[in-house]
Amino acid sequence: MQPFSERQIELVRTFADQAVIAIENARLLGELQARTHDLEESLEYQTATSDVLNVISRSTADVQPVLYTVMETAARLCGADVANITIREGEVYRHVASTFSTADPEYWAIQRQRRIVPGRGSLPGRVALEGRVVHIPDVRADPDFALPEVVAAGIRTGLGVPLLREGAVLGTINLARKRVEPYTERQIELVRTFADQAVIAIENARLLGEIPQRQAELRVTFDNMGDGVVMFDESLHLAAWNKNFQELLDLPNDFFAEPHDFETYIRFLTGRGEFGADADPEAELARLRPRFGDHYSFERTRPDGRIIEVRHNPMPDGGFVLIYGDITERKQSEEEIRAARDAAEAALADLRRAQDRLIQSEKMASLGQLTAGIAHEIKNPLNFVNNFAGLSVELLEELRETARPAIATLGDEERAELDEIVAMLTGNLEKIAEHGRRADGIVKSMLEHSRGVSGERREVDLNALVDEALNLAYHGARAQDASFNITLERDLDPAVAPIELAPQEMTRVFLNLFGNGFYAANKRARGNGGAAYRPTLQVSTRDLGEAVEVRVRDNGTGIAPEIRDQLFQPFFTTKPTGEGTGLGLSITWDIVTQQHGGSIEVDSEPGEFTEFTIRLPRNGQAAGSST
Amino acid sequence: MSVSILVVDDEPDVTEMFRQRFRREARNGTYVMHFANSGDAALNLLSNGIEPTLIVILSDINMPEMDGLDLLAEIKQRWADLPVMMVTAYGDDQRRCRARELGASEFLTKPVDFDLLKARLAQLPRVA
Repeated sequence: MQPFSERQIELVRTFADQAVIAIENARLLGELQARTHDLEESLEYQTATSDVLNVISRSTADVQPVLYTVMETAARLCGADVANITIREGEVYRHVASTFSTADPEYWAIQRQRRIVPGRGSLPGRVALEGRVVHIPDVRADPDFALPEVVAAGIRTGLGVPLLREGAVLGTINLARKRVEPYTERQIELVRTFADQAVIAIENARLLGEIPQRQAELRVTFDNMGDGVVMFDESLHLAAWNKNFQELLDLPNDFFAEPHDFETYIRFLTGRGEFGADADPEAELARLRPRFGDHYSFERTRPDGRIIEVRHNPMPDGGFVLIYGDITERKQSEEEIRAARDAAEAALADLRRAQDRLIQSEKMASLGQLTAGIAHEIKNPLNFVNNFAGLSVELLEELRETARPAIATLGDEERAELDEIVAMLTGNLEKIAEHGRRADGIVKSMLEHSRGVSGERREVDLNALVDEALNLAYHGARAQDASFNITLERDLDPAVAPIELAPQEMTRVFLNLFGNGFYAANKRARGNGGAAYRPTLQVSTRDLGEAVEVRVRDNGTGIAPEIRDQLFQPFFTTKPTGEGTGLGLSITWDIVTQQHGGSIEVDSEPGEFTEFTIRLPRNGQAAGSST
Repeated sequence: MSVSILVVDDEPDVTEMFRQRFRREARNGTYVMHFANSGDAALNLLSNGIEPTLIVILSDINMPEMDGLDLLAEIKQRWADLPVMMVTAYGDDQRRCRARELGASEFLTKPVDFDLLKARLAQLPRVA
């Protein structure tokens, strides 16, 4: 055995080293190649991605080219035999892109009609159901895969990636190989990136699509606004307006044929007489100019009489919007509402007055009945008082006659005493009789209330009746008091046609009113009337057609407002005790309202005048007998 | 020759009043006064015959049970020629008319004016 020489050993060592280097080189080369491949792949992927982005940026409105680019690029880079993209429409997904669109248009037509529901039976269905990437290594080995025609077409390995926006599945990208070969992580990642890009494209297109629609909607809204709207931009040029603006201001189409700014617009309106015949456009502008930046509104009436409201709203970047509203109808209805409200209030006031009158009427009627009832009860005993008082006077006289012989025998003193007593008794009885008569007078007046429609009705000449009563009252007053005097002013309307009434009753009414008038005027004459005061009583009649009116006015003391309500109540009197029964106006009221269905009103100014107004309807029926 | 007057009234004091008012006439024999406090009592008196000759009946209208107007009707049916004067506190037209229809010869309102009444009585025929 001959050992290897040093050189030999050195040589082998060298060879070994070289082998190591060679191996190392080969490894490095392999590594380099792998790196190179990786780099190439990355470059390819990045190029593809940037291509897709390019397509997206080019086609903002139409998403279809983007989807095809995404699908084709993904299919090419992932080595897929077929590919498609589905998009959600409501509850289902439909194919919007497919490699069959060029490879097999016939099949594509069928594919397009498919409605894919979320579910494990199909690749896109499963992606839609699960909302994440679905990798089917071999459809033949997948127990849930339920599309035999796909299997029959030779499809084996499938990859589905969802198009996700805010967690919702917008659609799916689906790739398939006709061989069993799983997709690499990089490929899946790539498709995921494409999916994100597709979502951005879809979203962009959607947003872009909405803009014209919104604009159209805005335009429709703008044109259909009840108001007329016009916008002047920051340079005060007429920038936008709606249909109603043109119509409201009667602007001709010609006006919009040339560009306008706010000044030419105002000049145009002024020239047309919008602000009145003599309006000066420069003055209008001078008035408006300082207020361009203000929020304000005003109303004005157009030459055709319509009322418009103008609202001026400045815009943040200069310019302003004018909003014109036709408020003619609103103004009218406001006016109508106001008129209706006034009418309703007037009706309510009338109603309240009628109610007051009714209450008054009821009060009077019941007081009248009460009065009559009391009178009935008092009358009989009073008759006895009066009768027995009268009788006693006679009996006393008889007593004196009968006792004369006996009295003659008495001494002077006793006879004088006796005579005095008899005289006192007679005097007392006469007083009883006198006051009894007074009470009887009151009772008789009270009973007038209960007489009901006693007076016969007949057609009479009212003027003659009034005149007669006036003479009667005047002469009656003169007979009682020779110093009495008053100026009588008659204004009797000759047109007053005959009217049916109870003449006796109405005469009582007139006598009462005239008597009161005389009394009041005389009282003032005696009181603070002054030298120039002339007591006057005015009586007038008037034919109102359906009714007649009699006014009795004296310039006497007047009636204080606070007692006016009590005026017609029985026993209410302002005269001193014994001068009046307080029944005159009560009976008057009864006769006028109850018996003749008329009305009596009083107007007075204390210290100036009192005026009674009686209205008697021609068809006046008694309001009801108070018996 | 005395003649009778019948006064019908439910009020006892009316009797007393008439008695006093006609005291002289009663004393000197001009009139004999008769009184009834109801329509029935009046009819009883009439049926039994009143002496001396009755020349007039004065009747109140307002009385319980048979009122003056009913009594008037009854009297007019049986003694048609006997004058009946109605006396009442209620001088309303309705009663006045009704009394006239039923044949009352007079309608007097209370308080009775005795001078007037006596004048009317003096005018009555002495023999009914």
